[in-house]
Amino acid sequence: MDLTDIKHRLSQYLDNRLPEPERRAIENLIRTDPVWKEEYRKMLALAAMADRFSLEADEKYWRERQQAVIDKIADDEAEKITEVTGPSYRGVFLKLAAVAASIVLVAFVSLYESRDIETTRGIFKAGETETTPLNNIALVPEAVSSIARDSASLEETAGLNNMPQDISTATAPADVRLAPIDEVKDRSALIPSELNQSESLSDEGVVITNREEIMKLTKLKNESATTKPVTAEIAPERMPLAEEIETPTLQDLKSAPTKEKAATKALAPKFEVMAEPKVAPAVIGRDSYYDSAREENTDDNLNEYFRWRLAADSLEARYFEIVSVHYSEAVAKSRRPAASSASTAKKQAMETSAESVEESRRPDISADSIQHMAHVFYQVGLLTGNSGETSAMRMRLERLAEIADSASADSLTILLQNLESPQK
Amino acid sequence: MPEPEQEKAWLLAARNGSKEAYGKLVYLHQKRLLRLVFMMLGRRDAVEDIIQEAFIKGYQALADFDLDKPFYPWISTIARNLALNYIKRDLRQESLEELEKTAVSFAETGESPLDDLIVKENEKRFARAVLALPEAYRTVFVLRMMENLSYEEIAGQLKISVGTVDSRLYRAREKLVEMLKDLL
Repeated sequence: MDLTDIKHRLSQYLDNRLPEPERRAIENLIRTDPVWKEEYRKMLALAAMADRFSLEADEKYWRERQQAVIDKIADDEAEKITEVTGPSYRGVFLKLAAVAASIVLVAFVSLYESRDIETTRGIFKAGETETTPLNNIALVPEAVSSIARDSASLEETAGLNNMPQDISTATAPADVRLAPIDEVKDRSALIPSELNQSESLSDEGVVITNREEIMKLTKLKNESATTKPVTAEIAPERMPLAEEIETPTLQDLKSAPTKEKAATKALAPKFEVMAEPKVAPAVIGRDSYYDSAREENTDDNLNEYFRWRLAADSLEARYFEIVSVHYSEAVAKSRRPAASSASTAKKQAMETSAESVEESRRPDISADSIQHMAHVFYQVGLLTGNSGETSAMRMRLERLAEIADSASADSLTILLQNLESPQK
Repeated sequence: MPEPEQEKAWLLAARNGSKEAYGKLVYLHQKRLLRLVFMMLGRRDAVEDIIQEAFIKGYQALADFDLDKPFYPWISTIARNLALNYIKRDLRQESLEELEKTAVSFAETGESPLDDLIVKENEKRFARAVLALPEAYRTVFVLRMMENLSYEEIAGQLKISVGTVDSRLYRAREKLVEMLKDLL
């Protein structure tokens, strides 16, 4: 080993980095060679000097250094707390933005709700189809005014009629029924009492127990119609359906007299059963109209109309020989004996005189039942938006007026006048 | 030196936010840390800043510290890393020649940046001699002789081989023995 190598080994020996053979060799060299022994001593002295080396200062210096560290830590913590909890321009901006957005939203909703409804209804021009792009929609003044008029009429009519929500189950307190119509909060209060007593119906006809109520309603309706004339017109979208709700023809009735009679008897006991228009002979031709109208229109007024219409159809099916203007005298006569055995003798007597011809057209039905039927037909005529159906209801009223007694005929005349006024 | 249990209590209190307890730890270990960093850098301005930063980082990282272990090795590692980063970032911008000129100047003039903190004359000379070493040699010597790190620890710290640590340490010792031969 040369000198450099020996010094390197001494450094490694000092740090106990030599393997056992070399360590023994170095130890032997140090022990036997004074030069290397001195060299080793200097290295040990250097290590001792490094180990003893320290920086000395007065207490003030170290306390200052200590306090500087603590102060710096405190400053950093305070800075972090300020960053978290202190005022933030970003937070203020977000709050202002949220407030501004809320104001804009409220203003938009207010403007939207206060807009003129007529100017926002999209009406297709003649020749346009439903596939017309929205940006090509134009308002047709005539159509807009027609719809507005129709809408107003329906709303007004609904308010005046106070129709029951469920004609078969609604009940009304007796003390409310005679209240003025404007004071009545619950529309069920003005339900004709007969509709609530449907279970009392029999083959002999509708039993009306509260005729004063019918008259009161008729009077109120007359007054309302005078001060607020009903201006219902046919809505454009209903026009194509007008032909579908014509009353059945004589040929229709002749074609299935047995079936009609059986259906009529089945329907007689309850209005719930009557609520099935498909089995009523007079409404067979109107099923499609009902179905399509129900699918296309969810208007509450139309629903009210349907309820009255079901009642009208049931009565019409039950008394079709009375209310059908197309029913011939011969048919009426042929069926009349089956209606009631008690009236057979009377009817046979009627046939013997010229006056009995007119009398023969009057079936066995009470005046109250005629009043009730008239009211139902009147309601249908008012609520329908179809002038054809209004005319049909008017003709039924005329038919009832022909067979009614003088007192009932007066009230029916009032109803007819009210029903005619909108057409004018 | 305080008992390990006393130091552990201070550490626990400091972890719970007691700056007073952490101040006691600072006071206890700052002298030794100052010696380490000073002997690594040889620049007083940077030394005090690095020591302060090391203690602040230690306080912020107390949640990660194992209370069952002594505090100094952990905080000295932080300080050592800061010092090494400073060496890589700043001192390396100056040429080794300049550093050696500075060291020689210290040795010739008998003054060092921390002369006011070194009371004994032989220690002043020792400091001057160490600071006169090349940075590569000086760092290895300080870590081994003053921090008692193993070769492997030094190699890992400086990202050099164990053989390089061995040779640099030998060179540093040889130079220091030569420079301090009248004191040894």
